[in-house]
Amino acid sequence: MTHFRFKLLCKNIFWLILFFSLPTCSSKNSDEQSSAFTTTVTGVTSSTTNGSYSTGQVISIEISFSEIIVLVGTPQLTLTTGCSDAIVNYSSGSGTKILTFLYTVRAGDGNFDLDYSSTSALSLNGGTIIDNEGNAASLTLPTIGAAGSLSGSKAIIISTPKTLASGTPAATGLQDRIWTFTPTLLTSGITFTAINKPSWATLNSSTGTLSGNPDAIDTLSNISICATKASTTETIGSFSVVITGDPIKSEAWHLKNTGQTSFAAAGGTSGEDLNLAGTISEGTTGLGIKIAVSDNGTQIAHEDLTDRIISGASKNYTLASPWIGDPTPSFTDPSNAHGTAVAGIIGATGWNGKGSRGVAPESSLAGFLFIGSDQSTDKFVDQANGDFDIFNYSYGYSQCQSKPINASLETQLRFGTTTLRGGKGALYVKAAGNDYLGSLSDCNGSGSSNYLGNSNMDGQNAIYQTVVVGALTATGNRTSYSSPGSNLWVSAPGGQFGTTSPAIISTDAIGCSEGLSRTTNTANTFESGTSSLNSNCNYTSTMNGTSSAAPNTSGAIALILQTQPLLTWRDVKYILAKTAKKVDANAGNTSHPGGGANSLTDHTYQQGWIQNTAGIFFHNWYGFGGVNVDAAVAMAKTYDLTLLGTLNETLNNDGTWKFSSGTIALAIPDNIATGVSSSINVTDNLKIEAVEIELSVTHNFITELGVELTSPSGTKSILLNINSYIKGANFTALHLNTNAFLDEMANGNWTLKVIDGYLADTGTLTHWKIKINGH
Amino acid sequence: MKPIFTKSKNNNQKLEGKNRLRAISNEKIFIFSGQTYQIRTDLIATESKGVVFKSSEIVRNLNPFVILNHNSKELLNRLQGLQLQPLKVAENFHTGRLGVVTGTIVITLVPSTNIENFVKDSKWEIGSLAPQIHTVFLKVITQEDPLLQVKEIKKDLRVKSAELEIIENLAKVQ
Repeated sequence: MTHFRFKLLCKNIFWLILFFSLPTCSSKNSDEQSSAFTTTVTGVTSSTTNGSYSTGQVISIEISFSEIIVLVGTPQLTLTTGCSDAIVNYSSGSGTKILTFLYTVRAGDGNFDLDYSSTSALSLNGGTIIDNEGNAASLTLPTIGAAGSLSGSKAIIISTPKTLASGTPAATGLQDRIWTFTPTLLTSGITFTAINKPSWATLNSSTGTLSGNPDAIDTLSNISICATKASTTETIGSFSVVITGDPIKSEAWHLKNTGQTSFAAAGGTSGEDLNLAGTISEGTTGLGIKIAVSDNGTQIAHEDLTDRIISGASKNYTLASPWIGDPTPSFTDPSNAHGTAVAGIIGATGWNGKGSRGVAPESSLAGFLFIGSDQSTDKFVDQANGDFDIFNYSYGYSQCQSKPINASLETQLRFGTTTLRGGKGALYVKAAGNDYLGSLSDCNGSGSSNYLGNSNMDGQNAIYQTVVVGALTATGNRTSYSSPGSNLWVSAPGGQFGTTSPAIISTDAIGCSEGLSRTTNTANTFESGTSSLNSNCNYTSTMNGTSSAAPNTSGAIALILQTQPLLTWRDVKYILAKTAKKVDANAGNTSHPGGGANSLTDHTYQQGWIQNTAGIFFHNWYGFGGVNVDAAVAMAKTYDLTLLGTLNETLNNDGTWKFSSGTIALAIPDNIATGVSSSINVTDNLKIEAVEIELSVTHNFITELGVELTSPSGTKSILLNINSYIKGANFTALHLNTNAFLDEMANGNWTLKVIDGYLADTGTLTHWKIKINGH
Repeated sequence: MKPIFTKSKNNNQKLEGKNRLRAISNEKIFIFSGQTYQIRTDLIATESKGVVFKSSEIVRNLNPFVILNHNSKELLNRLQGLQLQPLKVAENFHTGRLGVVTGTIVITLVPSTNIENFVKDSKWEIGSLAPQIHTVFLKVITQEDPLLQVKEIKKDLRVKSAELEIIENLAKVQ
């Protein structure tokens, strides 16, 4: 409204300006005046009826201006009509607001939605187009495909008889998904070329196949595939492709790491990601795979999650049994957005023009509000049961002391891996823990010093039925917090904190007053909602932790299961292990972070990458390495379903462990690396999938103790590091798991070594036993 | 600078914890007749800055909850807006550590037992069922010693095991 009045005023003074020849008006405010006086194109359309037109037919195209214009000469309009543009002369309209151009369809022309060649397709051709004040009109046309353009307002198809090749390319495509078109050949000996070929596409000059993987949201116009044979060149028809996607996916380094900063100060390392581009581009998206997200609740109405939620399957364990209900927590506490972020990492909806994208963006999700309940056993059991393929557990206990697994939960996990998924077994994916350097003050006591967590201390992590996942940075290394342990299976992106180094992009509680991203969050502009990419604060760039690594793995498993639904839970674990990427490849032995008196002479505190005698690499920081989706999916496609056979555990008939030391009393030498050793001869010859031990030790300060296990073939796994500063006295049937012996043979002498790493207190190894899981 | 690792302090902490545990464990009476309270430590921090509980008031820290004994009741009553929840604590005989008594007895049935028949016959209040693992969750009887209830339940030959549920720690998001 303001602009309109200003324009009238300017028109009235226009002649005054000319009369008095006031130079200041034309020079000082030239930009403003130009804008105010310029007559512009308001739209392009056609009075010709929508439809398909062929050789010789005439199509009328009208260009509307904002003011009456006067035309001198023969301006021209260039239309995209295939391999050669059609240049159409002005026909009529001078003295009105509408100029008309008449286009007669030529032999060989083609366009699936007729439009001009560019926004500058209207040319004067030596003439003039001025308004009634003598000002040259702007000739800029509306953006191709947009409202007001020819294709935006009409649907006119140019289709002339083809003699070489034909076909109709898809007008839409998806970010990161292969778009392809192959014409039908009507004869042989054709050579194909392309005009306005998308940068992401390649053309096969023999078959005419135009194919590629669009990596961004985009609209690509006036593409033409031209077929030539001898002196004849035809088009299959000019076309446009609209690519839909997810606007902040480009910042999701865990999906595709290009070194982007993901709103942190510095970026990561290109290629250090889940390596899933090939899988996604093929259209594998987790469709049909059901995943339970047991966490501190999930905002199931979130715009990027709601389409993924299985109706009636979510649970709220603060309600009465059977706990079916909305799992959306109160978000007054920002940390309650955790489960919403976890769900988004797994399965945020893809290609909906919102947020980022989950690893398995077409998987089906249920949210469980479990953390926040009283975590009673009945709830623990229930949240591990049901019609789900994968259970994601981004929670755990403080690892400052051993926490045996809840016996009923262990029974449930055994049930789940033998019975769910039609007997193929559900996958239980668990965060390794964030206790690389835990604070004792946060762990059942006072004090200001730290402890070195071990993922095995959390009993749910120490059984073979769980897939334990460590966290990687955007540079492909261990995160500052990820708990180590011989029980780790794989690692996956977890990120740092999103300020100096990238964290994980995911869904967040809706709005700028709740959740992680909120007006008061100063971590970065994305988190505070000041970035246009997150003005609604529905997404976060600061999600991290092994809590993020676990759902990245759950999503990856969903892609594997969609590829081969007949895989058992053990098959999936094996595929993850065999295809894992050896991240931080040069990681060698490390010494105790506390140094000094915490170290022993001739003792390796933590091993770097080891290679077991079956040739498999393992590291207590990373398990078998980083999840490698494309490699895992490729292995799944050709996987021999009989490879692992039946799971065999070295158990007696009554379920007790077969191989035990019996009661022993071996003194543990104080503060010396030689420690005390005890061997058990395993007579079952299994190919190892995992090894579990239980040991009992009397010692006033278990913090001092290190535990190592050496296989019959000589591979050493460190199950517990010395001077961990974990709490308590004595180990009583402490359960530890190690995956370091995968694919080795089990029979022979297994040697357990217990080391006391600190001066003064001594202890005794009183009992230990070993169980092999294998086939 | 706060030391990352302090060996002597760490040892002292463990001794203190051990002694405290022993002291509390000796107070068998508090398990079911003493009133204790659960309070979220983050609420203490955000809503009652400056409030410091004495060691004599704290039964156990179950991050993010702290269990306070009856000595704290008067103090707690003076605090506005805090979410207090009376509950009981007991020793977990498997670990020797204290935990929260949830009021549930976990019963595992021998596999051949028909769980529906067991429920039908039961004189106990059923909380929920997990038939897939032959497990029944019973409610403890108010005003009665649940350990005696457990003892009574174990007399049933269909019962493989029965345990009073005690939660030592709450899992937390990672």
